Amino acid sequence: MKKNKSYIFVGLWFYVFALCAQNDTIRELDEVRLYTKLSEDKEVKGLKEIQLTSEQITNNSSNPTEFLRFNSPVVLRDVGNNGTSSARFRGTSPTNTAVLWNGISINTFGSGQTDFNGLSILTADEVSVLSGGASATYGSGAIGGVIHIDDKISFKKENSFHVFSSYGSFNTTNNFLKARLSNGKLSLKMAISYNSSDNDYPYIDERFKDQNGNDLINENGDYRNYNFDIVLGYKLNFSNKLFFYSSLYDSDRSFSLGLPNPSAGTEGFLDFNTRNLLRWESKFGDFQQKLSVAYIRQQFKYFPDQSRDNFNFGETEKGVLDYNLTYQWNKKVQLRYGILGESIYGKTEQISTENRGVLTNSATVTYAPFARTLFVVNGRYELNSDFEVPFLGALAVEQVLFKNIKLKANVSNNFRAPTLNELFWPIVGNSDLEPEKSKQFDLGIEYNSKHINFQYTYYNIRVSDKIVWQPGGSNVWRPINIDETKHRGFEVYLNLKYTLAKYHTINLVSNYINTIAQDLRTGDLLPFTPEQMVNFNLSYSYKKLTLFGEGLYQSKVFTISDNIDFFSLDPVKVFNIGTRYSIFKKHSSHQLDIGMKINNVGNQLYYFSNLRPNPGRNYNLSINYKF
Amino acid sequence: MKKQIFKLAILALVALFYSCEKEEIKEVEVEVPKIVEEIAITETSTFNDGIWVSAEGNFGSKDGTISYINDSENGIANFAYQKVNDGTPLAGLIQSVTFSDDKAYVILNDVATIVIVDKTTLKKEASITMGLNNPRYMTIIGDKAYVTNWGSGLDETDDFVAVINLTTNTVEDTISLANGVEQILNKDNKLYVSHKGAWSTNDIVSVVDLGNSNAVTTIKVKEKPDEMFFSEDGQLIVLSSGRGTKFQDVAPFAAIERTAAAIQFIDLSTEAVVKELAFNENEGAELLAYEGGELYYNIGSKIYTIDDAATALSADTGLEVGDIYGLNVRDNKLYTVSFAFTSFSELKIRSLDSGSLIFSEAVGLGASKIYFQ
Repeated sequence: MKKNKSYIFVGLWFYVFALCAQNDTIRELDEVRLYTKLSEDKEVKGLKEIQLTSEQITNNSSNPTEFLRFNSPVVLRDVGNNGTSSARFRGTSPTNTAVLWNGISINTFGSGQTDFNGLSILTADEVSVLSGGASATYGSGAIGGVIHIDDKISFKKENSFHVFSSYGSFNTTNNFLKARLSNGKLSLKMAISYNSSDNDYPYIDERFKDQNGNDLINENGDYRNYNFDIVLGYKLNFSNKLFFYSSLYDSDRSFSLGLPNPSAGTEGFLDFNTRNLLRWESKFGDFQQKLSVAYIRQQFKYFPDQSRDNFNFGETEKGVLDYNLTYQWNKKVQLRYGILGESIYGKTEQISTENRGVLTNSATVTYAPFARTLFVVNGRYELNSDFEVPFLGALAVEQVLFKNIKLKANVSNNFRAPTLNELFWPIVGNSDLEPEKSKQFDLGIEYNSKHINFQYTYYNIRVSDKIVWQPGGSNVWRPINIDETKHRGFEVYLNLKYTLAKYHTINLVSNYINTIAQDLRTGDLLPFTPEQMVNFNLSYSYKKLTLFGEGLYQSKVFTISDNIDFFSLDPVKVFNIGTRYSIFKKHSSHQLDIGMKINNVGNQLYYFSNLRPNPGRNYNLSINYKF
Repeated sequence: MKKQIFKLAILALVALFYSCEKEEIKEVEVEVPKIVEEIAITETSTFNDGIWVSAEGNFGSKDGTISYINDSENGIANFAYQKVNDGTPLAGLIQSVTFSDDKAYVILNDVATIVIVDKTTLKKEASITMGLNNPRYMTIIGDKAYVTNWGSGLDETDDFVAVINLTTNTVEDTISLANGVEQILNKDNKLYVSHKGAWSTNDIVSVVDLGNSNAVTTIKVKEKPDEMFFSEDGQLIVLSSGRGTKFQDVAPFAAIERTAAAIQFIDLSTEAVVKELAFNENEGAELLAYEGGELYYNIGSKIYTIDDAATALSADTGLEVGDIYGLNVRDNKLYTVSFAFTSFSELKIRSLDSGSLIFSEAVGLGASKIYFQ
């Protein structure tokens, strides 16, 4: 019966699709954009993608985990507040989330993941969240989805500055300074951020108290991090532009132990990352080309006991050479060819340097037979020195109807490369591992108007050869290609903006995701995957005053692969409220705002990791100045 | 504007029309050898007879549990501690449990805590949270307890035995020992500590003479000594599993190459190895039980039995029990818990006469120890 339902839905979609496609042949061509801009030449079609603004970032400034939790369809799990944090789309593994910094993949070689409390996004200009498989475009890891962290630079003449500072409970402070200078030919963005917190909040779990009956405290949880970004753009002439992106991140965290004995926490963790990227974009005739050269280095040190010198470490070094050529064949057809070479070095205290070489050829055909219809075919062939990568393909279709409704479809196969640790960890590493593979499709509808952006997408993902660390009899854990999982559900995104009367504005941004992610060997739901997640941010503005509330609901998650209630975390319900006031506002780039926020107003106890409670009610003041 | 809302409403309808439900996958029915009922836990439930099974849970996940099986082995209560204590879990990885006359000391390794519970009611009485660092095993002499501690990870020089005053429940002294302290026994005011080697490896047994200012002597055994017993004629029996250096590619990843493993007998007066039952090359046992003068050990998934007077290991074909993580013997019955950290372990009871399965029940994640009350 359930299966029938899905067929009906798919059938209905195609019926509507066919109907509209026919209509189009007789309808006059309108302004629907056919040419994809060079800067967007990798934009994936047929999938749901949401853009998060720097305003949303400053609203949830405490760390990238909190920011994505309240603003995106991604499910994040951190091991304690500001501890290591992993991101999952649609119940897929954290290694199935590709993270790109200005188009360069930054998942580490060691774990194949990105720690969302181990990077800075405060000074990013745009974070976009693409849901669905996109390996044919972005390579390894793009099974569940892709998170882009981008700096934007323009050649518009300007001298602008943005200063943000917040201070709140537990001595928590987030600060950044962003400067943009441009004379029309040379453009510069410089940004620096500093965040720190004692993070020593009381645990509000009434079941656990200290010997004297007092609240236990999140001891050994303090952190601080710095980030420095510089972006340079140089416009050689109308058709040639050079860009240089550089980023440096330094972080020092203590990891709390949580309940029941926070006093025994001693762990420490250091991150040090540098990223550099040089990009040349040029146009000639019907051709556009883009050449990127990047070098990134990401290191961490883990101290079991911060008071001692002993540590473990991991390091990833990656050099990237990426060339893309796009050719506008005629009004209806665009062709793209890309060649990408990567050399990745990884090492840990257990693994002496291992090198992986990657050579990828890819091509895209974009075909717009009618003004409102778009077909995109993507192919990618990767040669990898460590294992065989399947040929990757993606087919996307988009159809516009009634001017502001768009139907979308995307079918793709994707992969996730085995990591350094999985392949080479002494004795237990498994050099025979194959990549994880997926087959998946998305069917979506998007509605766009002046006031509304609504996106809905149904997805179905089948992951095979999933790599799982399996325990064995001698208490030896080894990674093997064992699991097969199925992920189905839908995502909804809603962005509403209404001006009710003069000066009265309401703005609602909300994500809803429904996920049934099952292990096909047992039928059990996959751990750390809520069946439902909703987040929203509702704000009401009157003249200079804005009031807002934001909420997160996440249904129960299991913490092991067996679905047993003892091994589960209760639903999460968190609600924050706040207010902003514009002391003055000349225009959007010259204003001074002050803000106040109460996090977890209901003082709810909630967990993302077993017995590592999140903070209760806490307060935050901020100042935001643009000039 | 109205038109837009109308369109949006239609879209929303189409969107919500489709919703997902969990797909049921048929479970394979397993034949249950014996009808075992779940014991309902009430205010007056007692736990001072029968069997306790501790399940470690996963490191850092703080989900260790205690299961209780009644003496007639026809009733079971999983999550017994949590049920008795108003829903509060033990909240750690249960490394081991040590019993005094009226109390049980549950050692939580990853949270450096010992939870003290009443042996009869299973109610929490107190906990020790200070002075421990990766605690492992405990032995009690009078009103003092001695707990082995690995100390901090990556430091091989900070292993110690914490001396706990059981009247105040505080750590009042420590005894420094070599790397990787594991199990601990006492006899005649001396402590015997096997050095399995914590995160690396070791091959000694330390003897601490409490009557002689904690003087330490060491006895060299094979690599990774773990389980220890006193034999009926007063010798120390030590099982060293050897160190695995290469493992199979497929689960359960049995060691296919390992250093020498042996069961050794140590004379306590001379502190010398007086008998050595060596395993074949690349073979070894991780688990050992000693009951009524008989030794029970595993090689892979098979259990073998020898008399403590034997001069060589068993030449029998062994009893197949599957991949196990805990072993004990009582009344000519073999108790094992299966090795499982991603799903529940099974407690299986077999007759040692016929090898037939008497009892099989799920008992928690990573069940490791079987204690008889």
